[in-house]
Amino acid sequence: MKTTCLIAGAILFLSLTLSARFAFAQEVEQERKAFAGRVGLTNKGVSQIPNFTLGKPAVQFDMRIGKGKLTFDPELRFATTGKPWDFVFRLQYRVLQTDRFRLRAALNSVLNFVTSSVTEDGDPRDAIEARRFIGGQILPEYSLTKNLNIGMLFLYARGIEESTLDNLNFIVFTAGLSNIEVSDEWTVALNSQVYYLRIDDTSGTYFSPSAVLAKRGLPFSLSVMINKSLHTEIEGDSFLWSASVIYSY
Amino acid sequence: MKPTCLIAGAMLFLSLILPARFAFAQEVEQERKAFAGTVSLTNKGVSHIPSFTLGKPAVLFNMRIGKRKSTFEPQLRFSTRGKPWAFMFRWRYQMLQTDKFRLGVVLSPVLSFITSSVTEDGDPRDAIIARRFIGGQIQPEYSLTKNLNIGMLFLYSRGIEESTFRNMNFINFITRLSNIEVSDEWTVTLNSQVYYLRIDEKSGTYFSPSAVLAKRGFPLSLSAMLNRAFHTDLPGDDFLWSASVIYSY
Repeated sequence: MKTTCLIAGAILFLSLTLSARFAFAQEVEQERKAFAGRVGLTNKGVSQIPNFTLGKPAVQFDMRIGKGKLTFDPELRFATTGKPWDFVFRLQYRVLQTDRFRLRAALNSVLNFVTSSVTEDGDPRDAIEARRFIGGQILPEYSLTKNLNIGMLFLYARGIEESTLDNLNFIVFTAGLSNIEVSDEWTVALNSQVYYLRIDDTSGTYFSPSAVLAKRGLPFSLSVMINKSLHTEIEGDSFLWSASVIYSY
Repeated sequence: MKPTCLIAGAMLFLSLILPARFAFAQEVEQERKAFAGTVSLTNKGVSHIPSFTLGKPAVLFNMRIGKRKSTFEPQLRFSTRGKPWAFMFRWRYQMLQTDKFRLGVVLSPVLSFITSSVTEDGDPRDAIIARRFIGGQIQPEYSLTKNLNIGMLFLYSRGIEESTFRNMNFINFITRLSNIEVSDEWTVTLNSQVYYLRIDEKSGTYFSPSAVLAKRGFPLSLSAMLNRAFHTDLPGDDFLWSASVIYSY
């Protein structure tokens, strides 16, 4: 346990000195539109929750509807073969927003899809099964400088179907360094996340850095991420990576 | 076959003199917003396709994103107990629009959900199973007068999962009389639809009138609909009705 704490502490330190970013955080600097979103195409659908990782090429539609304090942020994810993978219906409220500090709270209802081999009316076949999850999250975020943010995410989710998990707790420490100029036109954002995940009686700690390369005025960006387990009892690959092309509108 | 044709002809005539309405058609008269939608609460989730009828209280979220010729119109339907019922992701292109005539084409991927009793690893349990459908529709619409519209809808849909149907054809004749003033503030819209449905080897003709009561400047409206089978081989109730409260934003 002591080494785990040490590792977690060291990673937290690294996570703070290295850089990370929240999704959509860069939008706060721009004037907000009533409707915004992005479409991402990735070589491998990876989720920070190992049971939700698809492991196949995927396309992801993220939207944000509303520009006031309360927004509806649905995320629809599909395998590129057309099978639904994960639908998140998020209702987000901006509790507090100052120059340096932001606090957001969200209610999430999630549909996660798996292909199960089932027997129905005596015939075995593959079926797309939907599992429901309901939960909430709290995101405090602090800007150390204009381009350096640190933050946390507390997420709780509860599975409704009996065939899936009962309780999920997820704590993320995140640090983000954005708008690093690599040339006049190209910028890089570096992100780092360290997280603790507890699903029913099993738990694990993970490290997940990522980088985004963008060109000013161009709606496309490139993103790469790594997900590495540090110490875990939860089933899943201990090392995953993915690359994505993202179109923002 | 001959009486069927006669009935269909008579109903077409009735359908033309009785009134009907297209979803969202009334918006064309207003200035279009970039994002609009409705939330409906109904006592019984009814679909024109009998096998898609839920038959239980339901909540329906309809959205339209985009204000130009091409729009994205997702419809998310849930039972009031929180189970997903049907998700439609419609991409509409308004091909032609004059003062009197409109022609729209729609690409519609659909996810329909059912609760099945399945057996996995020898254990029987209930599971929410998603079935995928992909299809398209063509919708010509003509305004006879400012408040009287007639139109048709041709819809083809193909089931992807083997456990569901292969081919569905749906032809709908629609008449709508809108903005009937019942007082200074209250208006009624009357709709009538007659449709022919063919699912694989089976077919049927149906009649479905509806009425909407609205108050000017008030976001809530009330709606009631009937669905009556004339002659059908398709399984499902011959007579269905439902009432809804609709919030428009």
